[in-house]
Amino acid sequence: MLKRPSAHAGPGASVVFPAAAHPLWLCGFRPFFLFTALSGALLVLLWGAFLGHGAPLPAVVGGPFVWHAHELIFGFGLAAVAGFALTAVPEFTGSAAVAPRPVRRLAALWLLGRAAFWLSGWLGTPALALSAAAHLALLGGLIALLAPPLWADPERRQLAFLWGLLALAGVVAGFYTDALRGESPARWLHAALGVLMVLIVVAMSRISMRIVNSAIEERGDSVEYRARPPKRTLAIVCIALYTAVEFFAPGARIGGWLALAAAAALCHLQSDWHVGRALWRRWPLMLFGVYVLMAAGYGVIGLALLTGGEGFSAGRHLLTVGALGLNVYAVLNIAGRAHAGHPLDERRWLPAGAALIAAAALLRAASALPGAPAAALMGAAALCWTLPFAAYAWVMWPLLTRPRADGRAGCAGPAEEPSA
Amino acid sequence: MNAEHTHAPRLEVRGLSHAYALKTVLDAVDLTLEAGRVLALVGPSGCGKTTLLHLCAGLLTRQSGTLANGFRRPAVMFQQPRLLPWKTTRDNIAIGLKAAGVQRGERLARADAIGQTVGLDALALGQFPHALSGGMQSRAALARALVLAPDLLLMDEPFAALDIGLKGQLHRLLLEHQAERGLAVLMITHDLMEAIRLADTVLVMAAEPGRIVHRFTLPTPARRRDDAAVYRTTAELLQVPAVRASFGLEAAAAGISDGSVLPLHATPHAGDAPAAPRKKGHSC
Amino acid sequence: MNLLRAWLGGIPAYLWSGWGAVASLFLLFAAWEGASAVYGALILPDPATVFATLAGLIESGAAWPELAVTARRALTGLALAIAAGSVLGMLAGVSLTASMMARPLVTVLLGTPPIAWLVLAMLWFGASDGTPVFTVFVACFPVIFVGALQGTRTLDSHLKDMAAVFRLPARMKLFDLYLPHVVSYLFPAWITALGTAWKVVVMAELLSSADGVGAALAVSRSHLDTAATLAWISAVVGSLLAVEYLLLEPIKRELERWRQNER
Repeated sequence: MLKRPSAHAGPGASVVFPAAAHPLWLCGFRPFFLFTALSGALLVLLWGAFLGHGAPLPAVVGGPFVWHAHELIFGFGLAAVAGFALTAVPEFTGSAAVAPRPVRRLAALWLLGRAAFWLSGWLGTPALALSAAAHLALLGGLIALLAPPLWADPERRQLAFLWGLLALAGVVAGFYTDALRGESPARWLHAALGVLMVLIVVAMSRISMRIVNSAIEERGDSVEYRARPPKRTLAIVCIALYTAVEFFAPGARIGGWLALAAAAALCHLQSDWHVGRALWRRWPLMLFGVYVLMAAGYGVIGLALLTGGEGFSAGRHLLTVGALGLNVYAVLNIAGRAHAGHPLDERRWLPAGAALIAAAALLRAASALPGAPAAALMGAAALCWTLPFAAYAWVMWPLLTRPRADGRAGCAGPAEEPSA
Repeated sequence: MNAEHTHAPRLEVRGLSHAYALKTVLDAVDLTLEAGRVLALVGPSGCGKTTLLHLCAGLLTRQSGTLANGFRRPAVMFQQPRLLPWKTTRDNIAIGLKAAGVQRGERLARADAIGQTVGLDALALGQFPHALSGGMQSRAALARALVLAPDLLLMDEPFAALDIGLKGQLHRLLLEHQAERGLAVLMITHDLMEAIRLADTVLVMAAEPGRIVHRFTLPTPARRRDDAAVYRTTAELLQVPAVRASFGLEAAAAGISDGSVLPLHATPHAGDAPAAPRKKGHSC
Repeated sequence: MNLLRAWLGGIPAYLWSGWGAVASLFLLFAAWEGASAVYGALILPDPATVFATLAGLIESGAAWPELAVTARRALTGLALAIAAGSVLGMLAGVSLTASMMARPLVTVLLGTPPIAWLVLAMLWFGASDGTPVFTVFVACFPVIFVGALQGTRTLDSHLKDMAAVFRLPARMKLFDLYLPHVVSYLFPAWITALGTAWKVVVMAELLSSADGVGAALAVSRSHLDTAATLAWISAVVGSLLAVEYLLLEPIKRELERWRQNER
């Protein structure tokens, strides 16, 4: 427990000045995970106030629904992706951590993107163009920083992250092209959701191998969890096909079959997780829940499209609130602590938060059912979502804005206990 | 395999010859194996060792000469483990007992017991052979032979594919079992040192046609031989011209005269005289 | 008993692994839906319409009797082929001469198109059940025969030696040595033959019978009812999928547990 201030700062690099050497910039996830948690809580609070009490929202192209989706996908979602990629890619490829300076710039771009988009209703096209530039620069910066290590990896095993970032850049570009032309850009947001789902499937396999196997080890079971590529690939292909069809032919029945295929492929993927009791530990269960919610979301979408009935929005929100929300929450808690040099948080609030997010997804989905008390359910869902992210920001703020207590540098994981 | 009338059973081979189509692989082989003794047949590959063993095991039909096997419960250990891939290790070990009509419960208990002594744990016993390493498979094959409580064990280069550590372990297991039960062993090997480590009598064979060119008996019991003695005896045996010729080695190095080298107890009666190669060299 | 428990315990995992198959079926339906959108409902009705038609057929009670007739014929022919093909194939496999002799005959049987057998069968058996049953038998027999022959021939001679020195009695040789090995060749052959039987029986019925799915197809064709045609096809294919994946595949997995160690 020896505290040595700035003992871990690199030679010559910003040793003295507190602003430059602030621990917040120690690793990419620190600012971005805070952004994620804060924006997650704040955005939904605003949305709930708008839905429930008609509180005003920033006026943007396409109206409040576009604002809601844009902010939660390109604000909240992108912050989580950026934080995760900046931390995980150097770890997976064994390359050097991203330096504080580019992290600061990327964080500034994210804030600029928020401000510009929110003001785009009042300031018009220039602000919208600025928002476009900020978002594209953020993604471009991520790609420029992470493509070399991803490409240099001898087996290029993690290239999927690069394709994911490029696809995100593509949908952002498409969104702003439509928005600047004054057309409704909503379809790009739906495509972005598909890209995020694929990215989740890709990222989860890496995270879960470690989490699930350590849970199995703790129990002393003899089985071993392996994320098998063929199943994952099938799921990714189905999600990608559905996303493409939804983009070009929204509402078509063919999309319904593809969504059902995606749901089945995701259920198929879950069979890797059937490892016995260890699955019921909090961390594996949380990650498993992501797949369950994702499968449910695509299943509901597929049924809605095929029967022409209601429920499409319910399916969509099982994906966003449920799969995306729960996955982001889990990653924030796992990577956010490990790379700040802390062991996993084993306190009660954490699984309670995960349960609240799952509840939020179900409440939001239920509100789309015909005859349901929609407003009340949506309000409850918004509350269930806001609490865990606010709690995360509250708990993690001190950890993320202070130097590491374990004396290790940058993004390094917690010191391994020397095992015989 | 007609039973002998003497009290101690023995395997006796006289003038045994064998030919595949037109090729003679065994030419007038004589050997005797008494109960409780270990006899090693050493020779280069292709010298008819395996044919001889298969004749003794009854896998081939005798063509000429006599072969009298007085042992009642012979068992064979092959070069490869030859386990049935669709049976668990335990069932594989018990297969001979099953063939003999032993009840299921009893044969599995005996398989487990012998499996333990050769170092197979309960997990390995419950697995299918493909899940076992080569060494484990060899142990299972050994257990499958030993579980029958044989009085004669025929072994065809059983440890050839194993590394020296495993080989050593299985050698020890075999010797312990052999000493305890008074088991007669006829083993085939191309490894001279293995033969000297395990056998009471070593017969060296040469090829084209397969015949015995040298035989000698080791004075100390196998269990009391240490590594140094084994190395020394092996080196000495390798100086015998007949042995060198059999393996196609160059003639012995100068400085060691042929006659003085061997304090070994070469058995007097057998014809080790025609030690020199009959032809230019043995290509086997 | 242990085997049974392991088998029952494996059922949930097996059923769950069926999601992969479900996913690819849904992809097929998506392609079907797409093709239907391109070519129009007259040429290719979309899946939902077809399934609705099928549901109508089932509800009206028209489907089950026809399916039962077809299944009876297919399974009778298949059972005969399995019995004859397996036994004769194994016998031929034991003898080198017999397998040498059998090979060209099998080629002749395999090479003769089922439709030619059908014509012969119609001449021999007329409109009776004999026609489809015989055609199915002839189409399935060589596949199974070859499987049994290959299985018997490929048994490792080392294992046979092992069986000899451990003095395995004939019964044990059959059940512990030959059958487990041969079954791993036979079972895939049976599954292939099942698919063949299902296809051939419908074809035979279409041309020669007054009942069964094939006959129903002939009727729907004469009415130019594409939806009903596809509904009958779905019923046949669906029942084949059910038999194969719910019945045969689990048995196969259990029989071949010794092969792979993947959990």
